[in-house]
Amino acid sequence: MSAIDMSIVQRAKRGDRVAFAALVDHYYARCLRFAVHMLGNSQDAEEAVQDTFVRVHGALHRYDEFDRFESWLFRILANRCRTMMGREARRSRVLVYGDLPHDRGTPPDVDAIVWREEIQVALAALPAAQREAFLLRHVEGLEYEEMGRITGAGVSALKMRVKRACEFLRLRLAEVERA
Amino acid sequence: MREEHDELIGHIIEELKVLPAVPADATARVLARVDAARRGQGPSAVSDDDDVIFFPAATDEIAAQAPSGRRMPAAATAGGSRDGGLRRRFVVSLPAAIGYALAATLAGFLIRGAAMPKERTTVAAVTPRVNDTAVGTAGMSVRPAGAVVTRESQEKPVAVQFVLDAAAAKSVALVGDFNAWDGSATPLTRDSASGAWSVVAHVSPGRHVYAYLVDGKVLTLDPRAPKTRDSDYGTEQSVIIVGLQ
Repeated sequence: MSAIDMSIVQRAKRGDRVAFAALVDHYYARCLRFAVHMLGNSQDAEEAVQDTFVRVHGALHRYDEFDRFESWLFRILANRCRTMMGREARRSRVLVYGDLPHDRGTPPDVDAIVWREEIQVALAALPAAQREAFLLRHVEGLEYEEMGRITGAGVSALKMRVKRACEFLRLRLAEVERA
Repeated sequence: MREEHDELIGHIIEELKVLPAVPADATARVLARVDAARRGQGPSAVSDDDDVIFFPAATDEIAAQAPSGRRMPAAATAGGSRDGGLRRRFVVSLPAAIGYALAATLAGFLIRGAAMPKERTTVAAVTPRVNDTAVGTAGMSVRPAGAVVTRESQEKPVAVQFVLDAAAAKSVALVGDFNAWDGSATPLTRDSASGAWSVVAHVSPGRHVYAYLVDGKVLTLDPRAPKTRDSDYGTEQSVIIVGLQ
């Protein structure tokens, strides 16, 4: 997904409601994807994303345009996800079939569903910091410097988290893929 | 630059990149909540109360990210394994803790005298505890933890001075629930004479959690303050109770 036109961000910053709505439209799906993978269920993910955009609106006047808007947005979202994970940790972390993103218009492919579920289970078993780093790097495609601004961790630490996440996922999912 | 990853990881990433379906009313709900928040209606407004701190780095991550010769002393680095890192840093002797409190008081008064001549200031981190035993806080304007003032209080923010001894640091920022953990919101300034970093922040009455962000990336607890364990991840945070004016 392309980065948003900065003039839209600037208009939203000046209080343009239509521009803010465009900004939400542009990033909602991506934010929801990150939140679903971080939190493991769509209900909490929706709440985290909604909270994020409300916070973005409230803090837009403080947004420094020299920063990438995307990094700033994901920083707020990642924070919300950490908060939500605290609540989630107090409940059992059960993945619900309906939570998994898939094309609902086609007949279910059992192998594909199993594969998706196994990925989600493996992802959920990762330490949260590694899960976050892996998703930011490989799914959201962010550079390590941006990830550092989002997570507060150093580049070397983030590289280590991503490497360990890959090792863990490889170990957990190699058998599933072969089956 | 992209790292190399094998076919299996590639398949996993491909699957994870599938975008979820977005509810048709998602944007409308955001806008409705924004409007409600603007009107100050509770259920839709977002509270900062439940914000959490960054994930603590593992010990080997800290070792990897700090170039040799520039690393903060062990006592001033955040993260680390829970038993070998943060906890070890705050095992201080009682006399040392009292010394810290006195030093904080002295440094605080010296700096306050220059920066805040007319305003009442509460010195942060004045109730260091060792094994949950409060250390003397003579002359300090701090309420005991049991007398927490709720954040709903409409009382005016109180000027609070935060002080950190970090002579090797190039920058120090105050992050806490009162500034949304924003590392750029409240930078500390270094006193050239004492080497201490300090800032006066206006904090609403009540209980707050905070930490220092050293050199933009290392979270450090306040060695002079009581600490609490975050309920989400067990991350430790410094605590301050700000009393009413």
